[in-house]
Amino acid sequence: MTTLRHIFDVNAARIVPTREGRKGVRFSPLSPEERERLLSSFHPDYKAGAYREIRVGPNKGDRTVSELADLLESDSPLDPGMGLPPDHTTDLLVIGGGGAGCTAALVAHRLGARAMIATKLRLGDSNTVMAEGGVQTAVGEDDSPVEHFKDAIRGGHYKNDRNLLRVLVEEGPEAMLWLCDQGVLFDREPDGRLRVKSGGGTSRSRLLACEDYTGLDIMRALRESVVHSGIPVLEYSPAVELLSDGEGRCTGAVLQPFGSSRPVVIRAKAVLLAAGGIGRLHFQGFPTSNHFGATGDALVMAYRLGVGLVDIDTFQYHPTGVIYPGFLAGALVTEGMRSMGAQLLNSRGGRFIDEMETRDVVSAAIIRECHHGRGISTPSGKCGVWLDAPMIDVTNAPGTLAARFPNMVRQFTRVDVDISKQAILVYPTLHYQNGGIRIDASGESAIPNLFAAGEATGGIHGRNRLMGNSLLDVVVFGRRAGAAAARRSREIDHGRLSLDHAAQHRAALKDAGVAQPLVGPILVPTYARPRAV
Amino acid sequence: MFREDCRVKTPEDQDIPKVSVEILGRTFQVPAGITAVDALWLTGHALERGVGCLGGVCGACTMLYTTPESMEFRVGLGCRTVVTDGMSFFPFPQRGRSRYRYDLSEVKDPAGELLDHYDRADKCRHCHGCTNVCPQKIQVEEAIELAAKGEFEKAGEMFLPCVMCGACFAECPEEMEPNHILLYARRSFALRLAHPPRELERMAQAINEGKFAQVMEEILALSDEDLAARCEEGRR
Repeated sequence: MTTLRHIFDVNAARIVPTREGRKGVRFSPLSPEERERLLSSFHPDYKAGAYREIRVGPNKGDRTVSELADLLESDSPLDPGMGLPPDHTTDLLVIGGGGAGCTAALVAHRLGARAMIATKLRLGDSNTVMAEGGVQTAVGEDDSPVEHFKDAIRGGHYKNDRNLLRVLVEEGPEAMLWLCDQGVLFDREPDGRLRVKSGGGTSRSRLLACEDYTGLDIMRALRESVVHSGIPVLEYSPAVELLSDGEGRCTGAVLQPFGSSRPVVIRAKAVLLAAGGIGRLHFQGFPTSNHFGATGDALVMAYRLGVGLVDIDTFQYHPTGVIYPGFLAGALVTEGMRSMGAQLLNSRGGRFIDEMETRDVVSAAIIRECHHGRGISTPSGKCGVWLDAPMIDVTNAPGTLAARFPNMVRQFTRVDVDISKQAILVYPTLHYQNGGIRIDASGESAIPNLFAAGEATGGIHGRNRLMGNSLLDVVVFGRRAGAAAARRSREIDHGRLSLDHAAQHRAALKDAGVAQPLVGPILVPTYARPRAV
Repeated sequence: MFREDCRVKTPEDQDIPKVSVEILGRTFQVPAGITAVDALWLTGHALERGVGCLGGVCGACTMLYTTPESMEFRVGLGCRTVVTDGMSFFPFPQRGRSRYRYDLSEVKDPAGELLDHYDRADKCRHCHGCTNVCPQKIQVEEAIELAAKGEFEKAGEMFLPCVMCGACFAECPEEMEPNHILLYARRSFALRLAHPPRELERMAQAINEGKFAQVMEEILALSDEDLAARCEEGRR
């Protein structure tokens, strides 16, 4: 079988001799008009044929990718008339056990609320755990939340909710101190100062990291805190429907634990959706960087309860997803590599974009190169461009790559590839849901007592998120929403439990002529072949 | 633009050699070069348990496997272990529940309190079991030795790639829970012994004192056009 090394060797003459000459050379940045033109020609968000109108609900008439429209129009797996005797009663039910869910539960618990986490897989199974390159927050002498705000809103195409973005950047440093209190160990320089890295689209270096295991260190610490705090956690217990009192308030949720036919009913004063993203829905057939459970469950359940979604037509494709060998397909090569000097090359060995442009622009540029026949083909029929990672050691000292990116080195050593010597093949991968559930600055949705935090929410990042702002988002808004939900639970009583909204949604589907709705949320992608007998 | 086949790549190509694998007692022929998780899907095993991040950092797909060369059980991550001919593999039992609890905020003397929180941390028999089973190739025994001596910075550094799969936990004959001990070492070092994150403290204080409030209000009030102009000026 053709190895990656072989493909590289065939092309090496176009790559290796030019390294010294490419060192430190910044590819000319694009004007705002050029960026827009590149995006509208090649970014998957602009592929009209992949989109359709949503036919029911708060976002009726808006367009999104067909796969998500199908799910927003899906029917509940439950019988709206079923009995709902509560199996558990709590103050705050957190749905989702990743960065946002654990943060919210810990904060609520510390404020004296009875919190409980229900998670589809295990506590900590999430996209958070996979984050590599770092978390962004204003930290340097020449930096400020204003600069962070400007970078983020520029990245978001000026469509970010300004109030939410203000909260994100102003509460960032405090949120990072909170993470340090949970035992997260950000890298230090030899003299003890925090090591700060740069990310795409930013005017200042302001990424804090734990080498390229940032999400792992954060998730490990948060998970241990949750377990040691005694917060009850129901694992392998995905939520499939929210509960309402029939008057527009959220009053709990129904879980459908794997391997059990009996649903579990949770009565809660407040519910917080922290169930993450949508990568495993493979929009437009893209591979994904996301974890197994990223199937958009939060969107589906919130939508049925009548919650409006924002910016639901834009998704982030991370430019450097591995494409070969096949089993690494979709796996992320952190943006941090580009900020340390790794360069993108087409089949001619030529540069074609400023590597530190925002992710949407870099992704569109890569798609353009492949479209115009300047990509490199793999034996499995995929197309991509080179990420010349050895430039990191050429630009800095030898050994820098191995020291700063041990996770990447490890992943590739497993397939016999030394990424400090050879370039690897990459193509955009479906990575992040830029929009989502509309929230206010307390993390509350338009439905009273329904809160949300993390990737499931929208507005903060506008139409394109910057590197490191998602890890920041889950902590800042996890804390805010957790605190707000805890306060709310002190003020109210439990409400009636009903599935009236599910019945209404079902009727709406019929009226809209949705002939054979899916049953959603789908919970897990279907990869298993039918069992051979 | 072209559509990617994002599902498990299952080449029916006759040129791809097949290998024989054993899964939970049954033998299957699967294409060479795929991972254990892909092999599970390909052979009809629909999993909810035993898959997680599919990115090599969560430990959900941890599995035990043997190869014809040796009956010794080895531990690997299913999403990152390529199947070979004659491999026999099955999911590893999920990470055990730790028997120990501590409140990190109450820890004052990380090294001095180690045995208070993990009373078997000094019981290492030097059996190398933990190091042998680690799918991330961490020198676990060495790290535990360092932790027991109070060298938390180095122990915590060695521990960084740990995905908390629990293999060392299951393997340790002293039941000391090596992964949790090392997590304690790293976390307590971060909280009490690392250089304090002064830059963050200064920035948080400046923000709370309202140092940036006026400029922020100004920016927030700008039209989209003016804001865009402001954001573009002086970009490096």
